[in-house]
Amino acid sequence: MVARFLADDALTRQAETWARDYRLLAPVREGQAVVYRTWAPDMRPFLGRPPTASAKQALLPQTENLLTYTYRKEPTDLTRTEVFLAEPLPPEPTVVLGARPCDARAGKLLDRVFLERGVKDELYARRRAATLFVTVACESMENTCFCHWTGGGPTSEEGSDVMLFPVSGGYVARAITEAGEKLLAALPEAPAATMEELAGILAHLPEPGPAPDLRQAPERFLKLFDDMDFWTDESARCLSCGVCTYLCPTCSCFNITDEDWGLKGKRVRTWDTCMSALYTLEGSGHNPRSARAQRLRNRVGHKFCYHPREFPGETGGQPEVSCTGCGRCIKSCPVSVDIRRIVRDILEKGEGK
Amino acid sequence: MAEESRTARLIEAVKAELPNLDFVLGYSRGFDALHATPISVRTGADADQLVFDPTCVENLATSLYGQSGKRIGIVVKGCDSRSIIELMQEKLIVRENLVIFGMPCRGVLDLAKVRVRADITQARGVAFGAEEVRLLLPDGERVLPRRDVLADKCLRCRYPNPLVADHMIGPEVERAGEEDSYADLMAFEKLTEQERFDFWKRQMSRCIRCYACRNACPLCVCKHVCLADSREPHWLSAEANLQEKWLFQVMHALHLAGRCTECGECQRSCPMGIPILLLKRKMNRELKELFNYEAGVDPEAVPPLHTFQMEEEKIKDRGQLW
Amino acid sequence: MTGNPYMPQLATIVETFDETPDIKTFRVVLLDPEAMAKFTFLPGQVAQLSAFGSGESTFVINSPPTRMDSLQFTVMRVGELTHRLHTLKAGDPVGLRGPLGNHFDVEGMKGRDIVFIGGGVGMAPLRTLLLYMLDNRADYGDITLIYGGRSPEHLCYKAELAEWTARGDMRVELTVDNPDKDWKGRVGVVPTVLTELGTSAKNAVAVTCGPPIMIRFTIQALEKLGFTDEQIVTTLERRMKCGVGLCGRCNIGDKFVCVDGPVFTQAQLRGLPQEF
Repeated sequence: MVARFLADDALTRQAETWARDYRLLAPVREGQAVVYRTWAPDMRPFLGRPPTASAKQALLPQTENLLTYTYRKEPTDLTRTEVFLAEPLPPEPTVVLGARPCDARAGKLLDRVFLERGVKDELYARRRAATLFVTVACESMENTCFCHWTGGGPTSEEGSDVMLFPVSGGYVARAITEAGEKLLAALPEAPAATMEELAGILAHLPEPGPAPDLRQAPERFLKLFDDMDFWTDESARCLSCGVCTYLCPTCSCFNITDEDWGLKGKRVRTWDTCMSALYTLEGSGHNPRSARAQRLRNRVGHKFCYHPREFPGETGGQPEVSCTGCGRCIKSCPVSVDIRRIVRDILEKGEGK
Repeated sequence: MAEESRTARLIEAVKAELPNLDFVLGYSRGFDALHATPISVRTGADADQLVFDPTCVENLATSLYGQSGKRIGIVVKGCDSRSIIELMQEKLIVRENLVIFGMPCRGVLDLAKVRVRADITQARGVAFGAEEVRLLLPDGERVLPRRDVLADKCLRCRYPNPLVADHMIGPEVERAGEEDSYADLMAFEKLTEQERFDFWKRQMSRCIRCYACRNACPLCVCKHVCLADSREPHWLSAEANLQEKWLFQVMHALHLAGRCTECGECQRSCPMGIPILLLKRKMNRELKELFNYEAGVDPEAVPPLHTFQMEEEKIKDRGQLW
Repeated sequence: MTGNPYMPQLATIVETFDETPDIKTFRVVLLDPEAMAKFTFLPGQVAQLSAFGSGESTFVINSPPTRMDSLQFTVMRVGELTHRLHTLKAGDPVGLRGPLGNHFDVEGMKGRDIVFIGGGVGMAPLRTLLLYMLDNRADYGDITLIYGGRSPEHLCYKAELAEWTARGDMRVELTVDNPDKDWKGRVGVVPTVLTELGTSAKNAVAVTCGPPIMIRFTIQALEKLGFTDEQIVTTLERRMKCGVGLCGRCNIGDKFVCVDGPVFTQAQLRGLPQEF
């Protein structure tokens, strides 16, 4: 498909155009954070840094209605009630502007859970079908980035509908899908000089450092599973908060609760975090993961052992792991827990086990 | 460098105490030069990883609660020592089981301030001078005045030397700050009520309810029996609504009134950069005015909301109300 | 829309009765008679029971598929939903999602001796299988039930326990930790009774459910009696939300108790990361 040009000073206008036909989620600067907001007329999209939270919220909102219920009292006998259930409203067609390749790639991993594991989650499926990703390619890798460990890269197109490549004065916009092509219909073709500049940029993308071979990770993780000293050391600094899991583009665990307003209410799905002791606390008081060492072990195990065992396959020479290497869990962790270091420790210490 | 020799002395002191301790909480180098990460030191080899410099921002006192029965060493700055004192005042830790390594401190970095001034996502190194911070970035060195990038709490710090310590790894430092004027709070309070409400609505709307603020707080000791998570009673909905996010911050501030030492971990830990320390400072200023009390400086003092007098000096008795 | 995996079917409570001071049993039928007629399951499968406003939770369907006049659930009062359920009475509406999860291998157990070993509310999943076998009595060999509780009043299904004891075609051994003056059964913990009985492992299957500590010692006792890992079957409890393998929390390694369980053989459990 033809490469087009989106000038810096046309970005806001283009966003406005998309916002007429779609719910547009665009990143804006707020203090030190870059936050996805639903488009409003005075917004200035900011594409200069990866958003603080991933674009997961477009596919799996932090709060989502599963159903609503209404009780009706029998007028002749107030001790008798009937209950009526209603389905949630369908999602609006959505464009996510300013996702990064690591965010767009995460859609496939969420699909594994919600569409492919067993029961198909139709609520997720229709949201997924209604969402388009306009992704900004990365020109460099931050200290916390490790997309290349997971088969991705700074310009990976997987999961994107449109790729924007930063160049002087704007972006080269390239449609990846038919739907993406429609989004770009009004943009001019990129001039030859711009394409030449882009070719130069792409030819000189920084070489990422070496990535460890993750093919042994599942087996070595299981060998270390019962080594509580290992996990206690790895988790000693963890605060058991939800930063890592909530900012993660692939963490998909959720809670279901009823939120009640008298005779009416709703059943909602909300993000949950396996870092919390409450996540597995049973009614009886028994908790299979009462220690944070067990909880951190679960998070790392899920991404680098359980997922590849459940969904065997390779991507870019690495097993498919439930991680796109976006590095948010490292960058935003209040105590700088580094999942790369834990995985390297697993590979190293699990070898001789 | 002075800091390096101090780290060496810290390592030596920790190694000497290790045989008597289950572990020592200290700092090691994080994923890059601008980040430290806590480490629990069990062996001499662990101890060799210890560092101490202005990247050591975390308040390690947060990890003390719930470790009863263990003999723990802990590396503290002046501000962190106040959390320990408050925990002692509330009988939540046993002083005898602690060995405190006091690190007089000239201030720690506020990475949020650094980020505004430089792109540190690819930082290669950092060096700390007496008055400046030298960042080594991919495109060369960047020098920032130290005062511009220190945490606010450091600029007004009156306790740079730990108030409680078993080993003081000196030299002691002269205090930098004067009596807290609460200038930030005063400026904020000049706004109208509507403006303040709009400010908090905007700020809180990006909260993701990760509870890093709560879990990083050394004095939020309810942990997983927090009111915010309670389903019975059902105080807060699980929904990520503005009112739930806001109610939790109000609860947090109220539960810390007269206990908060303003270590700032709540705000520093917030991934979304919400200025929640301001709420705690508001409570602290009120407590200061009402009871002339400052949390975490005197192990013998009783926090004002842990006690009461029939006739409070500065609270007007409104008589029988019903 | 169709395909909302979280949408329950509406159901009505037809009967409730107290089992113990904090355990109640509920019989429910689906509101739609056609759906009720079509509802099929196998012993061991679970369902999500909803009280709208207080959430939903997973309970084993403890009536057998051979008795489809209603679906029976036994609920211990421990949390948000179960407190609410305990306030409900016949005629009240609830929601039901199911059947979910796997089931006991009722085919593979045919022709074999069956030893049921239960503790407290852990009798519920055993009840569905036991009744299923009694309703197909000729298909199974000797049936033994060892069931224990803290005290006589903490045993569930008391009337049925008496009926089963009176039947000539199965053996019932009841035991409590703290007997009262009228207690005629055994005193002591379940694993000890099992050891005392010296139950033969030959051509037998042991099915056990109860508190984690009971399960642990029961399995040790079974092993001493010569039961192999394939001959020991248990059902696991886990905190569950979605019940369909999506919400994440009930995982043991890459298995989900709500989909791959709750019924596991000891051999299967040994192959999993030890985190339960």
